[in-house]
Amino acid sequence: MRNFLKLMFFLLPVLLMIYSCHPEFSATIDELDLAITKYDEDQNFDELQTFYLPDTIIYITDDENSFAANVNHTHEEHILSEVRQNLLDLGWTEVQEPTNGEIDSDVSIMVSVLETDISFYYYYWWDYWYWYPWDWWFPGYPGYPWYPIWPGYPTYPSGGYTVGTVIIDMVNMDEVAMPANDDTSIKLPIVWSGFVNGILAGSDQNLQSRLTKQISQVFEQSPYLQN
Amino acid sequence: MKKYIIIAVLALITFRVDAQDGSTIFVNYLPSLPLGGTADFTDEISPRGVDFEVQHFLNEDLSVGFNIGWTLFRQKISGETFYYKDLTITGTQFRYTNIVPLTLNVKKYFMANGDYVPYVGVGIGTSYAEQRNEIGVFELEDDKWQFHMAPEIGMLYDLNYKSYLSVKLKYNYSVKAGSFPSMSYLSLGLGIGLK
Repeated sequence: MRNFLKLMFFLLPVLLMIYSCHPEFSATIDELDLAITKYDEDQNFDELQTFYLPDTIIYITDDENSFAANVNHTHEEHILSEVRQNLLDLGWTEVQEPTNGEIDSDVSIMVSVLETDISFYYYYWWDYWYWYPWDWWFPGYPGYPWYPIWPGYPTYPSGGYTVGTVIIDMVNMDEVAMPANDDTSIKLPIVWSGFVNGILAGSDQNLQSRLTKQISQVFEQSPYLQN
Repeated sequence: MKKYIIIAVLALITFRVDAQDGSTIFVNYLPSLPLGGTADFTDEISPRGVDFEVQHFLNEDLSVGFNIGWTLFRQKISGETFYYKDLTITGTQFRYTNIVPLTLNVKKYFMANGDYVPYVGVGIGTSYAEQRNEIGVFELEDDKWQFHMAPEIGMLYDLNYKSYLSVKLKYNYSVKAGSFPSMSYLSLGLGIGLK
């Protein structure tokens, strides 16, 4: 009996420890949504008042894995409408159509969607940041120790899932330069970018409400865009 | 399965490892309160901690030994905007701080009549600390080995000729290393020792 009691005393702290372990949080899909922005600190945003928003979205997919076929266009209108409304709410004026082939606005808003399976995300994200023209106006990829992971949360399907990123780029049209026959002198000054990033899971209604929330957030966290 | 293996090993230890002459083996449950640089990153009290210790008694009121511990602090922060390099990021952060101290220590006991034996002690060594922030499908992580010191006060209760009950209050401090902040936390140890 005494030995048993002694053993229990000895094991008690260990059992408490094991009981309290569960070191990882469980996250819901919504809790993995992110709103990320970056901007050109040298840009005076007061000078920019009007925007042009094309009615199409550029889709960036991993061709090698035929993801292009799976691109979901369901939310295209919603995304564009949210971007437009947020800019209008911030006091910007929309320029509807290019005149004589020229975009007569201070900025052009380019919306693209990057969609890829999580298992390729780690590599693809790096590639994406490499070819994306950050180095023209931005310091570039944030680098170590910021890197994508495979979230080990138990709430997700074990078969994997798709990560989507809506990228909203603001191009300063006054500074754009595209000289003919000279690829090295192309200037496409992106003065602000907003990223909405999340796991593509859930109903269309759920995705739509998450998109609304996160698109609003990228503008909300950019007070310098207020006109 | 893992937990049964741990229990089996510990059970074996209790029966087979009658501590060597003059030595006592302790195991402590170690809930902790984060302070300073640890609390700046994860500021919630942690119920997740444990340490193991071997003490060799040089005489009746002085012992030297070795201690290895593990404490995990974690905190969930929802909807906060933070800055990383030139990025402004809003999302739910899942923050984790793991600290594993390894120290050599010395303890001075104040023998009195009765079964209660108060003591003071200090441990000096190193600790491995890792801070991890999981945000969306991204992760920010940094880790470091740091110089570590840990003064403590405690009390042993002489349960019988083979075992102690132990309670202690231990302050842990790791010195800042490069850009990695100093770590500090206060632990309450509840455990048992085998003579």
